[in-house]
Amino acid sequence: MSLSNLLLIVSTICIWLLLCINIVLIISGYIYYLRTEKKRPELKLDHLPFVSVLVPAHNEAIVIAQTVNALLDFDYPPEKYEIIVINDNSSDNSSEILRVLQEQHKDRQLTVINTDAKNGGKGKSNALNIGLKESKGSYIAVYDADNTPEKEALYSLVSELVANLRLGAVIGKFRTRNRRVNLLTKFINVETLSHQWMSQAGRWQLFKLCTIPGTNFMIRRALLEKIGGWDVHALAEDTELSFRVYMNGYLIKFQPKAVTWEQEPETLAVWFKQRTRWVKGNIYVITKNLPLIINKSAKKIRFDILYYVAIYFLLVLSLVTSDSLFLLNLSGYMHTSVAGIGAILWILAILIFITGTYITVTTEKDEMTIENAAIIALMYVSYCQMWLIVAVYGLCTYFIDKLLKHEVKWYKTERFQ
Amino acid sequence: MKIRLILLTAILVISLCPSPAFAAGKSADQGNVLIVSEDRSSGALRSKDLQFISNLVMAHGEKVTLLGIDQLTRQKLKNFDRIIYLANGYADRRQKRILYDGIEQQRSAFLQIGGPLPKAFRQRMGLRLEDQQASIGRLELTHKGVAQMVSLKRCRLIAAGNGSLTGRFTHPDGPIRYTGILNKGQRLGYLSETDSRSIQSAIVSELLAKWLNKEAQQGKIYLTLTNITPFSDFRKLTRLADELHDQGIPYLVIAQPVTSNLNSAAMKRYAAMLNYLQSRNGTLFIGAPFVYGVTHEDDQLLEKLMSVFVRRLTQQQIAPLGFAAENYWLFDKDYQRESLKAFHSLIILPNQENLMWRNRSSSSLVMGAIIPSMSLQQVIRSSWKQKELEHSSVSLALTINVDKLLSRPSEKAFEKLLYQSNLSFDDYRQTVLRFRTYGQIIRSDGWTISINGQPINQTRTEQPSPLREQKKEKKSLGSPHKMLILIFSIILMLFILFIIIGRTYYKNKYKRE
Repeated sequence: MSLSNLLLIVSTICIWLLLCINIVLIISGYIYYLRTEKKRPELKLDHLPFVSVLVPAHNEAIVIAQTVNALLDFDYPPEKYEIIVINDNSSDNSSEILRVLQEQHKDRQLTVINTDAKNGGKGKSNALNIGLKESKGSYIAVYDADNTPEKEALYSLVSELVANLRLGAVIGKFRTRNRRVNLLTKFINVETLSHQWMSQAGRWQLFKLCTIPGTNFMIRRALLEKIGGWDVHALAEDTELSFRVYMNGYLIKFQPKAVTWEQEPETLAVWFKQRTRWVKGNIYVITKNLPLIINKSAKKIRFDILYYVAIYFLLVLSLVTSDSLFLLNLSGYMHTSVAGIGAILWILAILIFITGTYITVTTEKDEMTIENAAIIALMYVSYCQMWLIVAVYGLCTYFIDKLLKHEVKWYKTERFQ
Repeated sequence: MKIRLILLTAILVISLCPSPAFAAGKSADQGNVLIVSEDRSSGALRSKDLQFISNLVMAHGEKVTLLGIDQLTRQKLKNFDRIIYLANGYADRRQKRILYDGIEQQRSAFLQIGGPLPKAFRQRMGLRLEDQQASIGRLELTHKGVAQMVSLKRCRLIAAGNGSLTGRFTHPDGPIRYTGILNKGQRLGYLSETDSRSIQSAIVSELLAKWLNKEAQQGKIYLTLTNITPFSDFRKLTRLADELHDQGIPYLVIAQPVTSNLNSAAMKRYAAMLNYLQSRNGTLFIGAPFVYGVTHEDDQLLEKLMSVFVRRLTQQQIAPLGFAAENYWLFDKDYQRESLKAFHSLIILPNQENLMWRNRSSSSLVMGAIIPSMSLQQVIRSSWKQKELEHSSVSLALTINVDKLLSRPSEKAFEKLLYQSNLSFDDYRQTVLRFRTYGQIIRSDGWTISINGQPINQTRTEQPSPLREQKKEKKSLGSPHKMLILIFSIILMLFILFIIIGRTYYKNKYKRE
């Protein structure tokens, strides 16, 4: 068998394997949705613990006031939570805005930590570690500076975490605040919904596995201190943290009732930079944790490691290989004689992608629309292909950075008015 | 003495110096027939006529040059001694004048098919054309008793002419008319245009043979199985081969080439099948590979691929005696060079819709034998057609696409029709030929075929072994595909169910708000 044929067969198997995994996750995720839809978190008020809400902020003047106001507005006893904003070496007028906010809410526990170039400005992990040191709560919640959490978000996270001692962390759901702005944000809106319902909920339902997102999650302080806080070298500090939580025998649960709204990139350039950081961050996590596959104590997270390996290496390489072979065949430079997957199967696969993703939008208010069905169909031919470009770019730059020993740089996502 | 010497010298000079006529003949491409048509585009209304006529001429061993009337110049005309003009479109007066004046001046043999004929030519043939009203009558080839009832629309037919008349049209209400004429010297001919295509084509064939002085030739008829590929139903092929063998019917097989995975099990089975066909009275011709748009930089790719396939066949003791390609391949320099030149014989198949030209040429390639093809079904149902073939001066391949014999009953029906027909098929292995194809020397000496001097075993009777295996493999390859379609269809339905459930939830949850 020729090399081209072998490559085509292997890549086709990989792509379809990933598709099948995705189908299983969609079904499990939807079962989880049906199971939890009518359940409400219940915790008596006198049992509510003290919570520290950390907000790392670097040049977030555009959004910080709205975020802090939303945090102050939680349906949670004000005396039982503090807000710590880590104004991380900002060069804009964030500190001024935060000072005004502090003055406006003197009765509230709102702390602002201003760092400078010496001790700050080294990325989100570093900022969170600084905030952790200053915090008092036995539970640590994290919100990004562009978030507008719903009022019951904190309560939902707390009640879940307090009720189950096996949980090391609880993650909430994030929605796209600017989802109506343009086509890109519409894509991101569908993507985030799909990621949470199909990927997070599905993995929880099947393997009791979840990955901490960058925002809207709560973790036990004791656990966080035990594992040494956040990894300052990690660009995807959230994924990295998730692995360590699991390695310490805890679980991470998805609580869809805890909702926050965040601002997503509105331009392709910002989106590209943000996603490249995610890709590079996740590859860092994969390479760091890959040895755990053969570690018996890491049995719980094997699926996640393999899942990430499959997504960032197998799928990316398979797609690049099959696309390259397609182009080489078309231009006549290479010849493959293996019969491809039949057209009916491809059409079915695309329909499954569209319907599977559309299932997600039925879970959210104002999302079950014809427009979203069209957006999903469009996503298949555009956004998904863009992801491939980002993934390849991220993969290459990660290894180039490693090879040339470039310093890891945190790209701060640009905010929009 | 002096006078004698002068006379002798003069005779010597005259005999050594070529006369102007001889000189023209020398410079002309002898045996090169020019076919001038008014419309050469492949989608042209009567492009099939052009194909048909060029096929016939090439089948008579002539080189054909195709030119549009708009491409014609006096200079170009001078190169041809025989010219056919197919009036199948539109030409302006100036273009026609170049043609007719040229023919008049150089006294070329000329045959016009359709359209009006200038007075000078009509006079030379004593031709009188008359309008024929729409009528039903009998159209027949003059001497062979081949006739068909036809319904002619209004047209111009030949009322009288000096020479041999053909295509006799008789009907109860009028005098006898003719559709074709050839003058006494058989150098000038005319065929009037009618809308009765089938029998008219027989008349063209008859007229052309006479015009080319090839009427004495006797054509042969070859039963030809087409579309044999590695994916063909080998059980059906084996049955068919056995049946034809037992009935003593020889046949040609057009096998499609395989260009990669030549060591695969599928290729081995394919070779075994071809070997079996060869041993059961079959003569192998290689079908032209499917060609796509020219995107490959390797100019010799076709030659390389064909060479590999032919070598693989010869290793298996399979001797391809010819090639089969669409008509336009003969008019493409690249196809000529890379594939046609490697064979002695060619079966011409009708042009399909998309013609993948690579390096178009106006002139055809002359080969050892060029055999036009026709659908067997077309012939088998027409008794006059069968009769005509008996007298045909060109050989013909009557094709049957084995893929179309879908079921056992259709196979049986085909066999029955074949036996009931009056057709008598010839054996191509009787043709004496020797040619070099991609480094292999193939020789057919009556009954014996040899490759590189080694006679091949044509009496193998072992069946292409793994028929059962093939079936099993088909199953094992086909089943997962079907299984996946089934699984994915169920998943799709499940997802649609989820959406319906989701919609109910959605309504209860949000619509009230």
